[in-house]
Order: sequence, then structure tokens, then C-alpha cells
Amino acid sequence: MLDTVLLVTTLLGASPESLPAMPGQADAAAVDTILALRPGDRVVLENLTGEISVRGWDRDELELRGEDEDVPLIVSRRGSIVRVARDDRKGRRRGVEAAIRLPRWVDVDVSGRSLDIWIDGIDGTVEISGVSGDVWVENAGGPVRVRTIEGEIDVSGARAGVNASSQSDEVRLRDVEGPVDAHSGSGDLTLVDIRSASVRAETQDGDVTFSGTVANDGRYGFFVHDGDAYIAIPATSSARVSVSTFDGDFESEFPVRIERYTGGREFDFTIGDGRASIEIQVFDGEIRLLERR
Amino acid sequence: MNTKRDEHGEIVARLSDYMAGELEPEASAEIEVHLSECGGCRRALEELRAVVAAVGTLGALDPPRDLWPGIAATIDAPAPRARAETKVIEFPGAAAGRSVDEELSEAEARGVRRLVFTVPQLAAASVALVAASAFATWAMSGGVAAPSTAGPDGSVSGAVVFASTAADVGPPPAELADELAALEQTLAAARAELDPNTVRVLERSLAVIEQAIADSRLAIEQDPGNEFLAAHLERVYERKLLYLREAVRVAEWSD
Amino acid sequence: MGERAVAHFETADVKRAQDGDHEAFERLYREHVGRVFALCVRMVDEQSAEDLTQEVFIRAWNKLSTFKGQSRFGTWLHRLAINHVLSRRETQRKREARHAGGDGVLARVVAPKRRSSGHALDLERAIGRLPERARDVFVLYDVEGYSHDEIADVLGVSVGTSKSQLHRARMLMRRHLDGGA
Repeated sequence: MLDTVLLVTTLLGASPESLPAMPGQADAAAVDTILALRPGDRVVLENLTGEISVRGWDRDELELRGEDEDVPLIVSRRGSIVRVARDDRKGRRRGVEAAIRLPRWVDVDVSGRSLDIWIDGIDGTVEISGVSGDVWVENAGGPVRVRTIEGEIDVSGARAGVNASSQSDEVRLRDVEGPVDAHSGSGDLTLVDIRSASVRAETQDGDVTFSGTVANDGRYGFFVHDGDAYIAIPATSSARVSVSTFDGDFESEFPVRIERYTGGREFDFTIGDGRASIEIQVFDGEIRLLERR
Repeated sequence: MNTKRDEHGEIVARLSDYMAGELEPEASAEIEVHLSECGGCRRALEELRAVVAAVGTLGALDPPRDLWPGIAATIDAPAPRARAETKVIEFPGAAAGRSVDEELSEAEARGVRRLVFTVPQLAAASVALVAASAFATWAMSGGVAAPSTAGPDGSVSGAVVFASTAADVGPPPAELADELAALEQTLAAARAELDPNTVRVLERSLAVIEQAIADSRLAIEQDPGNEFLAAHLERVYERKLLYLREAVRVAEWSD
Repeated sequence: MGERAVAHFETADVKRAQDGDHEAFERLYREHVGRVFALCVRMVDEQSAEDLTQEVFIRAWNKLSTFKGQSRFGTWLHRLAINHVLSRRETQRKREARHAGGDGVLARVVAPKRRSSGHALDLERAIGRLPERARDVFVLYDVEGYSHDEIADVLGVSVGTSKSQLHRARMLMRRHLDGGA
């Protein structure tokens, strides 16, 4: 049973003083729903189709604005779960264009079949899963987890790690702290300005580009089936590097002194004191170990 | 159900091939019938044609400044200095019968900083994907005959067809085999409920995985004792498992 | 001047340039720079296109001896330009990887500034907004007239990928143009 079903529908024009227009937002957009949120709440955007933006703000309220006056969304609460779902009474297959504002501290869970989603400034946990549609996450204070089958993933600014997988498009992460686990089935994986002690990056058909620091106790794994790996780390890094390839060249800007060489195409060497562990495995493609400048 | 919308998606997805005259006559005819009845798809075709026509008018662009002086200055200059010395070592050090160790110590003695390992003797293993992807096979096995309910017949038929496909590329690792088979059965049963676009998307993703599996198996045949290849293949299978889990999760979404 | 006459003079200029005649090579440059520059703008962006165009002609000069006249000079030059653009991307990726926080790879969503007008400008902007792979195929097929087989070969992808990326690009173009680039 639902605790409450909220259908607080106002128009911005009706009470302008209570709801100042957001920068970049058209004044005409309809404010469909406002709901007070409590610490511990989780906002679930469920099985949506269309284009949705979610932005954190300093109020403890959820605000929903639609492009049209008649947003086909319904907001409901059950315990600490606040659900934003399609309102089937307004047409089953309609794509939604909506802007949602949430308190920064809230956890957000998004799913959708064909959904472009943009999330900015949320410090709670962010979980997104979709079939197609692109995902952008910016300025995330909490852990970010994204799963999509067909669609790009772009995360810029994350303080508590990112776990991202797209089966058939590019994944780009930039300015990330915390554990990173990134995968692209067919598309390039670009990890830039990564400051993490735990990185795992995998592609089946696409290049991996990594640029980041190397923590002394860190573990870094790069696994590519068909594509190249460009790994750029600071000249002062301290790591034991293990390289494996079936069919591809290896080139290093670091001095390489082989310490272990197996009969196949695998070898280990050490940079600095060899404290972190870096594993680079490329089935068919080039490996470039570069100095990050 | 959303049959109508799905049909539009199917048609639109083939419009570029249709425009290029690259479809089989039956497929072309099917599209023409649909177009004659459907204003939306006709409009999509017109818009695609408009894009192609508009782009066809794009011509050369003049650079904002004359680039010739820069070119002239360079081709007049003497040839640039060679790059810093690079040592090229062939895997597995077969060149001139020398071992990798010998090559390495020589490089070290000369203070070579850049090191290139290269694989000269192995042509890239390009494998035509003989076996259709598991998902494609699963989809075909569903076909018209697929029961619309998740009956045991549907599940079994999907699994059986998959097993024969899998045999072509070799079995998955034992610890993954059960879950892989179970997920494939679930998908086979759920197929009728999925929209065709989603099926196509999942199919494409799985085809990449199947290609990676086929490549890896071929490589292992060439180099059976290679531990990296064994680990690599296992990793690809693990990824396949994740893909199937995702596919099942997607299939479970009500719509 | 008719096409055959142009071809005749061009062949003569290529021979002279192969013997080291800078003036002949400059004439070739003037004849072809617009197409090469346009290709670079559309496949990369306008800022890099000037450098890329210069590099293409410098490479062409250095490799002139390998041009045997089996195809038109323009065709040979164009192929060289495409390969150069693709290999420069690799270098670019390395450079961006080295200079942490470099915006290049990640800033492609920003539509490049183009000096064109009206409808052509919209088109150029819309091309600039396409994802890299789709853009490559679209420019080579719909703008430059390459076949899927040729594109598959030069980009190192399958013919199927070339076809599907072309369709993806056209659909996106349709949307960009419809919604204003």
C-alpha cells in the first residue's frame, strides 16, 4: 500500500515568489510536483523514456518540472522510497522531458529503456541502468554506478568512485577519486585525471586511455581484447608492471628492465621501487606506457 | 503490446540500406508496403534523403589563412634528426637466433631507453564468426514457433540450440557453464516479451563477446600452453555472463 | 579549362614536383587545399585543421616518389589525408593522456566554430556534433563518396559497422538539423 500519492500540481505563474526560476530554465516550464524529502530517502526514477535532468540543490525538497504543462510522471512515496514513474493515464508510450531538483544528500536510482539522463551535483549514491540513451554525471559526491547496453557514459567529477559499463558505446571518466571499474564492450574507454588506488578498465573492442596518479599500494588493471592501451603515469611512479599480449607491440617511455619473461609474450618490470601493481593485458593491439607530464 | 511502434523502429533502422538499394527484393517490398501506409516512416525517409542531399552540396572550404608559407618553409629545411634510439625486440626473440635475454642485455648496455616489443611472425588472427552469436541463435530458435509463455518447451529448445552453437567455439569454463545456460534459458523464454529493438541491441553486444571468444579460442589453438590466453578467455566468458545477466534484467522490466 | 586539360597539367606538375620543383608543388597545393582542409575540419575540428592540412602537404611532398600515377593525384592525396587524420588522432590521444586533465578527448561535444553561413553552417555544426565513429563514416560516405568497403578498409572496421554507423549518423543529423544545430 502506498503511504501517500502526491499530485501537488501548481503552475509557476500562479505562485512565482515561492519558486524562483532556475538559471537556464524557461520561466514557462510547469512545476508539476513539490515534495519534502527526509534524510535516508531514496529517489527512484523508474523505467522512464525520454530526457531527464536531475540536479542537486540546497533545499530538502524534490521539485519536478516538465517541458509540457502536462508532465506524464507521477510521484509517490512508500516509506523512504520516493518513486517517480510514468503516469500511464497520460499515455503509455510518451517520452518524457523533465527537470528534477533534489537535495544533494539524497540517493538516486534511475532506470529506463531509452533515456538520456543528466545528473549533476548529487552527493548520495547514484545508480543508473538503461538499455539505450546517453548518461552524463557531473560533480558526484557519492559512489556512481552506471550500466547501459547502448549509450555513452560520461562522468566528470566524482569523489567516491565510479563503476561504469556500456556494452556498445564510449565511456569517459574524468576527474575521479575513489575506486574505478570501467568497461566498454565496443567503444573507447577514456579515463583522464584519475586519482585512485584501485582501477580496473576493460574493453572488448575499443581503446583504453588512462591518465592518472599511481598510489603506492594501488592496483591498476587494464584489459583489452581488440584495441590499444595508452597508459600515462607520473615519472615518479613506483610500480611493478606486468605486460601480456598475444598480438601487439609494447612501447615504453619508462626504462624497461625485464625481470620475468615467460616463453610467450608476457614480462614484468619495475618502475621506481615497484610498490603499486600495474597489469596491462592486450590480446590484439598496441600497448603504450607513457610518462604523464 | 507495442507491435506498431516496434514495426516503425524496424523499418526506420533499415532505411539507409533501403536508400542505397542494398536490401533483398522482399525486404525492399516490405518496406515499400509499410511506407505506402505510414506517414511517419515516409517522413523519416524524406528527412534522411534531405540530409543526404543537403550534405551532397557541401564543398571545399578555404583555410582562414594561406598555409603555403609554413609548408614551403618545412620542405626547404633539411631532414629532421632521427628520434632517440629505440631498441626493437621481436617476440619471442627469434630474430637471428638470439634470445630475448641477449637482446635485452645489449639494449641495457647501450643505455637504450625506448623499448619496443613486436610480434612479427603472427598474422593477426582474424576469425570470421562462423557460429552465430548465442543470442542470435537464441533469437532464431525462438522464431515464429517460440511459445509466448515461458513454458518448458521454449526454454529447452533455446538451450539445446545454444549448446550446439557453443560446441563450435568450445565450452565455457565449468564454473560458469551452469549459470550461462540458465540465463540463456531465461532469455529464450522471455524473448517473445522483448521489443525487437532491444533484441537487436542485445544481439549486437553479444556478437562482440562471441567474436572475442572465437578469437581467443583460435589463439589458444595456436599457443595451447599460454596462461595469458587462458585467463583472457575466462575473462571474456565472465563478461558474457554479465551481459546475459543484464539482458535478463532488461527482459524483466515490465513495459 | 576542361577536366582532361586539368589532369594533363596536373600530371606534369606532379612530375616536376617529384623532381623537386617547389613551384609545381605549390600549384598542386592551391588546387587541392580546399578539399583537404574541408576533410580535416569535418573529421576533426577547425582549430586542428590548419595544422593537419599543412602536415598532409608536407607528408605528400616527402612521399611524392611513391605516387606512381595509377590513380588521380587528388585521390592519392585524399587517401593520404584520411590516413594522416586517423594517425594524428592516436598521437592526440597520447598527448591528452600525458597532459592530465587535457580537454581534447572530452571536449568534442562542444560544436566547433565554423566560418560558413546559413544552411551550410548548420550542416557543418551538426557534423561537428556527431560522435567520432559515426562522423568518420558519414563524412567519408555521404560527403566524400567513399564506398562502405573502402571505409571499412581505411577505418579498420567491418562493412556492417560502417553501414550501421552511417545510419546512426544520418538519424542524428536529421535530429540536429530538425532541432537546430
